[in-house]
Amino acid sequence: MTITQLLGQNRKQFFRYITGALLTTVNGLSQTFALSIAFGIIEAPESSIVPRIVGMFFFAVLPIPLQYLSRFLRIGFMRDVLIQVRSLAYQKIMHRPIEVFKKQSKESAMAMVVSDINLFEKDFFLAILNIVFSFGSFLIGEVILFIISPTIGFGTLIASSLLYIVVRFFEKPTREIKRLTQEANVDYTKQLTNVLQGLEVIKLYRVEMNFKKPFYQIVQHLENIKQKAFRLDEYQGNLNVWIASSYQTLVYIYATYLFIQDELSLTALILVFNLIGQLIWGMINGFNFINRFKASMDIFERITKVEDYPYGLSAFNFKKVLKVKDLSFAYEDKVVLEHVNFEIQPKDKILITGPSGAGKTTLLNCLSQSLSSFTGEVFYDHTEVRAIDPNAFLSNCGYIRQNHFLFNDTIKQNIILNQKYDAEKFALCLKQAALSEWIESLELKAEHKLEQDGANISGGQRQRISIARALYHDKELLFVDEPSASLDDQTALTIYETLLALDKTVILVAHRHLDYLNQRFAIKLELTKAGAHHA
Amino acid sequence: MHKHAYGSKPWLVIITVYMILITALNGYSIYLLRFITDYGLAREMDKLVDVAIQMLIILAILLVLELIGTPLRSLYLSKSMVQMKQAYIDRVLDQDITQVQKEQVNRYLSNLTNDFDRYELKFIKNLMQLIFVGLRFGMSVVLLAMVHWGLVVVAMVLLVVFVKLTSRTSKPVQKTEAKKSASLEAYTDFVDESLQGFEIIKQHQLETERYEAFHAHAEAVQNDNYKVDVKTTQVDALNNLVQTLVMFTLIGGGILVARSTSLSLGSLIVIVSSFGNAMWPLSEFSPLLSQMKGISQVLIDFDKNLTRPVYYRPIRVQSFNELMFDQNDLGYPDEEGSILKDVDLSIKAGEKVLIVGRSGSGKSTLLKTIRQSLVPKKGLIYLNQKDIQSIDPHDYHRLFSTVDQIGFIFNGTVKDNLDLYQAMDPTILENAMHKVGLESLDLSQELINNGSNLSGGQRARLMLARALCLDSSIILCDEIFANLEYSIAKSIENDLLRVEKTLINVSHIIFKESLGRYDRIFIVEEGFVQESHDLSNIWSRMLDEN
Repeated sequence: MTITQLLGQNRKQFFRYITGALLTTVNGLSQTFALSIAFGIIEAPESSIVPRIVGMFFFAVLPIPLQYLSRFLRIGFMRDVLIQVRSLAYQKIMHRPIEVFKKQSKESAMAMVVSDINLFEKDFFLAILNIVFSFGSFLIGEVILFIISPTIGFGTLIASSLLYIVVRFFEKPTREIKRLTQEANVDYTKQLTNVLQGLEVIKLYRVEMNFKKPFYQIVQHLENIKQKAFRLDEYQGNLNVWIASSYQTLVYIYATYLFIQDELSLTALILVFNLIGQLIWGMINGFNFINRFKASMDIFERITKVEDYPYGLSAFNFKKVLKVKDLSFAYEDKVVLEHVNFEIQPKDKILITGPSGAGKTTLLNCLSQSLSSFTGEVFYDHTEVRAIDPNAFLSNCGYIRQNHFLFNDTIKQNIILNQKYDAEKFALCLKQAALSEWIESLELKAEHKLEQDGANISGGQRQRISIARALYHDKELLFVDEPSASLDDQTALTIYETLLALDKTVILVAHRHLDYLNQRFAIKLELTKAGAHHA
Repeated sequence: MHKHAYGSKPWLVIITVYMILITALNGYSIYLLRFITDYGLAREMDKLVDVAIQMLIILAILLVLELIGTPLRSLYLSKSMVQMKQAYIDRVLDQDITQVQKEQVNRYLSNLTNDFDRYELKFIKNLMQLIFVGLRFGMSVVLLAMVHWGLVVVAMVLLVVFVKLTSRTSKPVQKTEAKKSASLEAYTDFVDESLQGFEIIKQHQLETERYEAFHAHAEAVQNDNYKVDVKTTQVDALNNLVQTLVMFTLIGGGILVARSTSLSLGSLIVIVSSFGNAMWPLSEFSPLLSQMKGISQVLIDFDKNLTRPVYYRPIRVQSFNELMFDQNDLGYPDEEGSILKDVDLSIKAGEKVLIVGRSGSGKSTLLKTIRQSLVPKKGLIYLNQKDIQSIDPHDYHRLFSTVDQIGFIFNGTVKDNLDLYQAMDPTILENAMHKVGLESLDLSQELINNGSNLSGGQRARLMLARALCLDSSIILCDEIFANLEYSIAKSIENDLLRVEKTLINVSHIIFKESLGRYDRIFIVEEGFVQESHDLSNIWSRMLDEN
């Protein structure tokens, strides 16, 4: 989504926001006006003193309700846009195929949904507001100046142009340093997650000092880059401030000269002093924010840039055959799978074995659309796996991975996920996954709440919940990657028997209980480092 | 964290002194304006030119000073943030091992990223601004004093009134800021969970549900932010109103006085610009202070997150003789009842101990208790006859090297993961890799995302190799065979049984041939731990009843 589309969607709110921002342009001018009315009193006739005092107070206080109103017109829009931007970032990440997701570090994804948006939030709105405020005030102020003294009006235009040149000069390095800051932030988060996730290991091995050092370095690096960014900002600011105050001094001398020549009234003199200050400082502010606005747009684009992945569109059909033809896969320059060929029919149960590192999990990933960069072909009936619509594929295939992730929710919710609850089916799945006994022993039964990633239960329990989850979801084709790793022998056998009894296709990867499994499975595939053999 | 609230104090002093210098020069140039006006009025062109030249020189000096001032300010900023972040991580790492909690990790992460960013923006940067604004105010006061001392009294009274006003109105902002922190944390947790469970979410097509839940979190964050904005708006408006009314009453009054007395135009200009200079600081004081007060709540929360009860554990232990359970009930603190009852076991130095049991039988509970992640529900556990809860935690944990199935693989090379950044003899590393059958793995290979680019078996073996590199008295293995093929698992067990250290091997996978090589075997079953000497019974019980 582009920023124009985003604003277009929130047209009404955006209109209110801009109205709110425009309201602020009057504020500075109003108080300047109040001051000049006040100083006019010195020269004014007795009769106009009271109206002038009333006028002074009116213009002095006017900005407060305006500011109040302006703020309320603006913050609603800010909230809505930020919710949308957050959602866009989240969707972008979640839209990625597993394969793409796994290639990037989790921290960079995290940074996009958390710290980048904070950066955007900080700059984007402040920038719009200040730009509108500064240029609005400038426009109104210039008109007044030209009426009072065309020379001063013209001089102010030139001074402003000078300021603009400075800003342009700093533009490129500013954007560059923002980008570097972002990168440094990612590295920092990475190192941080490293230390925090590994806290227990670090404590157990008592290597706190060893981890402090790299962490210190990364903090130092991040702060150094931020320091550079800050300095760049400040240099630009200081240069502008200097130009502005020098110009102000010049105008001061000139305006005094005009006053002496009786070409300016005292009210006009005061107005000129204050206006010049305001306009020039306002412009500095406005120009600075142009750069910040652009930088925040860069972030926005990065967050929301659509990533396109080639998705298949064909329907999923597995009525006749799953055919693997000459499948090979290499990770970087390491060959993992070489010329794998086999064929199975629906409802077949196939056992895949082989030493660790022979590519058992990789093969499952190739068959299940989790990995697409292999050579050779995998056909479900007549369609190549990579041409199948992922939604159709997932609706028909289940996959019990080795990573048994559990949500911070009840056992029941972790099993049924987004499906309807069917008590009978649920009980059956618990039984099939050898979970019933344990769950019965829990006070809250299946309503027992799990901590994030099941930190409060044992590895075997995690594994069995993950199996029950796949059983409950009842897919035609089930990929199973080493279901017994954390299970004792007897429980493992229960699980194997459950899988064998399913009226579905099961592709099982295993490295234990091979004697038993080889007896029970009719179709076997043994992977070696050299290639695959049909046993 | 409180002693770091103002960042690096030496640098704070340096930049303050520097800002005083700049402000003084600025003030002097405003002071000169008065003469320009008065000489202009008196038509003394010579003197006017003199003063104008002086002013231009000051402007040039100011440019130089400003350019030097920038690196000073940026140094203060970065020194402060480095110092605070390091202090925070030090506190995290210095916690007692028994108090390390996994659920705290995201809170620390949020503190060290989001919250520190906000603190930098809203406190440290605002602090510099506050000093700057305060100096401008002071400069204006001095200039006013040069015209009439009465004006100073007025300015000072104003300052006091406004600061008081602000401190009273910032309370509601503080509360809403704290609430925003909490919702940001929940948001961060949720994102983290989504990334951890990415595969499962995809596999089960849960994207829609997850998205809806995410949206709710994002809304909560922004709504709380909105509330902060509303509160700040109200507070600011009130503060501004009072300030404006007071200021303009003063200006109006002053001008009426000036009208009836004779005041030089030059002096009047100084008064105008000084009041102007005094006014904008005043209007900035309150938002600055209210933001700073609002965010300072974050530091209090940091302290809360990092403070744990301090235990007095004076007993030092150098070596391991015996670990003894004495009729203990074991379980989780927040759950009623216990998982294991009347646990009675003792392990002596040099013994090889096997603890077997079916999945969910309570083996992990036993281990967690040994590692002091859990406190026994009944009775005490003794190491060398001393209550383990009175033993210095570092001494205690130095005795163990733990290998478990969860573990953690750090971002970094294989080597970093082995030596954990400690200086280590390369042959030790190579030996360890050889023992676990990982010679083929390149020590310089980069690992990311908790070892997701390794296979399950390689990951388990790497963690085992890590433990072997460490010098300790007891090796504590928690289900290390789960992800290994039989041949590797057997050879590792063989190596472990040969090492001249105490071994506590907790496993549901056992090998018949090696059972006899253990000194003791305990079975965890139906809530009890029992020692068994009948090897064939153990074997058949563990295998199956089919």
